[in-house]
Amino acid sequence: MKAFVADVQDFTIMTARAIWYGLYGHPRYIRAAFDEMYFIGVGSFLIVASIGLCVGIIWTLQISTELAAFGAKLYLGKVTSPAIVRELGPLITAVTVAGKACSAIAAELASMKVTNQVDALRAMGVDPIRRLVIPKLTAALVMMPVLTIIYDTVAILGGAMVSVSVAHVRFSFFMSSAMQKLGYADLLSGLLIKPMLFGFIIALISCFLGLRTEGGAAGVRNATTQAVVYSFVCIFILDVLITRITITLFGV
Amino acid sequence: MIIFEDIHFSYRNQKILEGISFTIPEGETVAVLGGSGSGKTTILRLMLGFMKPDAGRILVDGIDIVPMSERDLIEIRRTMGIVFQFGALFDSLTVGNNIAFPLRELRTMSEDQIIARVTEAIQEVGLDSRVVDQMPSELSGGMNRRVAIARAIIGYPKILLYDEPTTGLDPMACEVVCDLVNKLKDDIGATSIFVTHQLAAAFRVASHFIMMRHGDLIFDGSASNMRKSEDPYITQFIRWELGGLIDGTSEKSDLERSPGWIARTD
Repeated sequence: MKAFVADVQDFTIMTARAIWYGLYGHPRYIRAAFDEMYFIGVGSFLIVASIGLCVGIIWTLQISTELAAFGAKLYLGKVTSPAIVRELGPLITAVTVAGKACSAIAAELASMKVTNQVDALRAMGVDPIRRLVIPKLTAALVMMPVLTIIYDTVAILGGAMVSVSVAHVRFSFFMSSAMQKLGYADLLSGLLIKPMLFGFIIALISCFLGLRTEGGAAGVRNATTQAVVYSFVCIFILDVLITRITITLFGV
Repeated sequence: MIIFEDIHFSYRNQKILEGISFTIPEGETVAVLGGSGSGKTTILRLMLGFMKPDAGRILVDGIDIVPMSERDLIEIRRTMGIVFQFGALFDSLTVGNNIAFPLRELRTMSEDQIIARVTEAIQEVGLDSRVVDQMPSELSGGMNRRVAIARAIIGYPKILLYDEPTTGLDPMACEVVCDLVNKLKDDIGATSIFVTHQLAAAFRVASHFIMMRHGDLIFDGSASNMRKSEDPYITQFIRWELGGLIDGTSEKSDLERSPGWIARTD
């Protein structure tokens, strides 16, 4: 229990310092941030797009069967787009990025920690949070909304493919009804608030667990596993909270 | 001058250092000896301000660094150079970028000046200039340690800290590193702390010795006083480290010549 409280305290301090540097610190490691954006964004593009396509197809197939039973296949677009933009897009993109980037970030920082590279930074008068955490946090905050937009676009196109080929609903009708159903609140919550908060939590958890690693290869293994597991749990808990808040505030 | 005054330090309810005190005059190299877990590396970490002692003062040029904030410590750390055990080079950067890293962080020199200084540092440690484009993973253990030393001296530090710099190296590479430490002592004149459990390496680089045992400082003095010590741990440590080659009467002459290398790793 004491160790848990100490971890929460350290995580809070690291988060506070990262926010402080992010808001008020002079941006020093712009090149490193772009490198991280490339790793998280370009590196996750294909996997996010392919998962998006599959989920869009699966979702629309399932829904079209149900709607067909009620003779309501024309509502396919109106049912598909909110589900993808509000929930599936940010959630599955976050889980995908967490699976790919969390383990990589945690492993990188953990191996730096156990080989004294983090201490070497500190010994040179460099703050590891500014040098290592801020570029990764910035990259996650920027790339998560971009990846979510890609996911949503591909998933809705996958849904449109099913609507045309299986449900026999015209492409233009599906797309226009899908777009009509989306409001500003959906876009704000699904494309900006949720992805950014998920990116924030993914980056901070993986950096924190990587930087507090001790004990050689076993420590690196534990940090990597914990980073993925904790990120998944936090993403789902955060999603419940944000969904509840956005429904209260915007009614969607 | 570096002064440790009655330093107590514990970690997770375990006593690591128990009231150690010593003084290192300016420009001198002191070897901190002792077995694994004796608290040698903790002394370096306290020097760098990575950890705060439970009690006592650490004076660097008359300034107590213990109560200093992280921001103030950054300035103190920039006057120091450290060579970590196994080098601790940044494996994502080339050798050249590793060596240039501290200067690029300071942002007080132009890129041309940095490149010139990196070239100079590479020559000082006896490496070929072509090594700058190599990655740390492509280097041998000895070269890795020399690059780490080049990175430590790039900013002309006033204090040099060596954390087991010869551990894991073959006898030839150990000798090269020790010669380099001696050469830098003459060239830079920095006050140095050389942490090692390899007695032969310590005798090559230092004139002042500190022996640690389970967090206690059990010896502080010259080589000849260490040789005369009747402390059973010191006597045994000398025998172990020199592979039992030395008997009680011939220790001094054997040690002060070129001692046989016992390159032992923990």
